[in-house]
Amino acid sequence: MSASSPDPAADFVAFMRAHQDRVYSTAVRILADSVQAEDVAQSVFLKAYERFAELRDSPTAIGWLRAVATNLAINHLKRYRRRFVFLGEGQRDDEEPEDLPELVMPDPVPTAVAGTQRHALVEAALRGLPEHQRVPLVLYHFEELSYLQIAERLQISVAKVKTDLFRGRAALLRTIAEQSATSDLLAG
Amino acid sequence: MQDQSSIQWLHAELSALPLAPAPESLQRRVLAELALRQAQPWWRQSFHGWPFAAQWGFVVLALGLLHLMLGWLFAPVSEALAAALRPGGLAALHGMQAIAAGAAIAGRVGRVLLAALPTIWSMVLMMTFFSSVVLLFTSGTLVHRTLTRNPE
Repeated sequence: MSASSPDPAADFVAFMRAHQDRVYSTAVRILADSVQAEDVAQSVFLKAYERFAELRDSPTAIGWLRAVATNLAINHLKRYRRRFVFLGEGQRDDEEPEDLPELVMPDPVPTAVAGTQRHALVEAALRGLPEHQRVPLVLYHFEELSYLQIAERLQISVAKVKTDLFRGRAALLRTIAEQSATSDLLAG
Repeated sequence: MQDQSSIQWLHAELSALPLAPAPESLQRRVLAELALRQAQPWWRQSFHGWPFAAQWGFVVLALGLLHLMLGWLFAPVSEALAAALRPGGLAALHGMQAIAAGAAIAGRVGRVLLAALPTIWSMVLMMTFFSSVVLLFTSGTLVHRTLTRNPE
């Protein structure tokens, strides 16, 4: 235990306030569901409380929180996916692809859409991706994991990670281009 | 292939996204859950929350029980081995004699283990139970799949 303020509860509240947006963002981007993301964020902070003596002044606390949030969110997805697949209520979408589609990348630079509106547009496009494309994208671009690390976390092959990233990026760029074109039209 | 500029542009866009604000209720929920946990007696909290003496007491008790259990389980085997290793036992023998004595011990251990196996009736009962579980689970899944795929 390090020398800190005499009120650990107040310290923990301050710790939570400092990091809750980061933890929640990680969870909500992986899960694309605000209710489930809040559940995951709650579990992360409950775990953090058990290790608060180590985490409170640690410079690596944010890394620990993000890693736990990522793992819990992925576990959450896996648990539900396994249940749905077994009961035949969902289709597995993580089989090896038979071939890569011929994708033509859209012009990625939206013109008139800027600032907050563009962020909302990108965020919505990301949230609209299917899980098997969204999760690798989030892990690669937000959590900055390598292909291999993503493959290990998701228990899929590296080739599958690359394919899903490829398709995910293509779908994301296409949606952004379409949405921004619509916004351009509306603005014009 | 996707060109590098598209990927870089996308990476920049994604990295520039602001953090999603956590809902107001998150902090309340965490603090309420912590208060609930702390209101519980220590033995219902997680092991980390136990008093130091209780943690050590539990470890010692658990190891003691494990020792007793292993001792009970392996008593017949260890007695046979101890008998073999006594002066005049296996240790004092050489060559083919030692191999023969070893085989005799293995046979004795095998008999002890066989005697510890459940009787045929209990095995039949266990097999029937597990088969019923598998059968019910499989038929339930089949019915569910049939109904969900063909709701008519």
